[in-house]
Amino acid sequence: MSALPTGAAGAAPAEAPPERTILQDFISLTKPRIISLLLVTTAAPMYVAGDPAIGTLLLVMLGGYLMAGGANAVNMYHDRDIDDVMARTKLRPIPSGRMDARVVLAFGVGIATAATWMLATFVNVLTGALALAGFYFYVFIYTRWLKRSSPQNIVIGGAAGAFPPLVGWAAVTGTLDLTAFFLFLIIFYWTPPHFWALALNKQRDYGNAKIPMAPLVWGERETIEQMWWYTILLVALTVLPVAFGAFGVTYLVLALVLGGILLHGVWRVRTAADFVKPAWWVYGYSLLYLALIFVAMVIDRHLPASLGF
Amino acid sequence: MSAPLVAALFWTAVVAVVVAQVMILRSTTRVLRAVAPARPALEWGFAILPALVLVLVLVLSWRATMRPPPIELDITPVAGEVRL
Repeated sequence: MSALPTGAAGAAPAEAPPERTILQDFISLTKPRIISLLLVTTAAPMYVAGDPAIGTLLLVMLGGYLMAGGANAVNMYHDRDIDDVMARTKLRPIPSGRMDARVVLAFGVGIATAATWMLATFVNVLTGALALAGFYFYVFIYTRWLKRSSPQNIVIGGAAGAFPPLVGWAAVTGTLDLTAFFLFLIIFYWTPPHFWALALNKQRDYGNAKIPMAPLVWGERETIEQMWWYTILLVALTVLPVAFGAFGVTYLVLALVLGGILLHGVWRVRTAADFVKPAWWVYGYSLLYLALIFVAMVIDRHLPASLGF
Repeated sequence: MSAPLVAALFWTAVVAVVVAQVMILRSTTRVLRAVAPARPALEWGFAILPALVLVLVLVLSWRATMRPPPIELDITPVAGEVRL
């Protein structure tokens, strides 16, 4: 399991380094704010797949946090050179000189190893293997290979952030099915419009770091055009599971309303004379959208049948 | 939901997915021709791979949508009617 997102702090302006304890620095290496969304997309599928015991839920949440946190720490080790030139990342523990890079790498690998052992031993082997696959995908495919080499970095790299629902599903059922794969695809296709909304407004930062984000390589117009079509594809994918009976009318209505709002936001990016404000709005709302679409699935599965839905 | 409604929902979503994916590929074709990437084959691969996965997913979804619901048989023996 991993955390593709690297931009949750994107809106924060550069400021004087705050006083931090070593514990706070270790916690910041895991990027806890980003992981909170990953944990929602891990926990919700567990309640879609079944009715997990509270012990299993807590184990998966802890294992998921450690695995994603480990991936984020290794990411900070690998990106320490470019973190130093980007305003929103230069205060991180390595570029600010508060932590040694090798300590960060050991910490990341250590907690990811602990997570693998914990999930494989106390939940099941498939859960541990999927979480580890997400870690590897994030570290090696996204961070080491795609991030600095292709404008489609977050298209393919989006798969890294899409592992959490598979982990949650496997933890409850011990297997995977078509519905689980749809949950994976929903995050996969959510990633481009979400991150390109950030990239549109952070082009200078990405340019300084020589990261070939789509707006810099393809131009703003083509990027926004693809954001629009990816959002249509995403909304269509969210309703498809209803057709084969994975979810009911309650979820369908919620998915259409939430998706309609997202489509409206991206349409504003597409048509506005100045995309800055609409793009920030899409960036923020898309985070909420992803969390709510997964909550909608849980509501639909657990809504009492007596309510008539 | 009724079968016609399910079919309408399925095909509407499929059309949206296909149109969106075609438009994404068209846009990617434009940018790859315009910017001439260092590794064009790889960039084409990155564009086509998700489309191929989508085709597979749509086929699996169609099969799952068309699958008849499981028949529930009531095989509870009625008292007094079991004879050897």
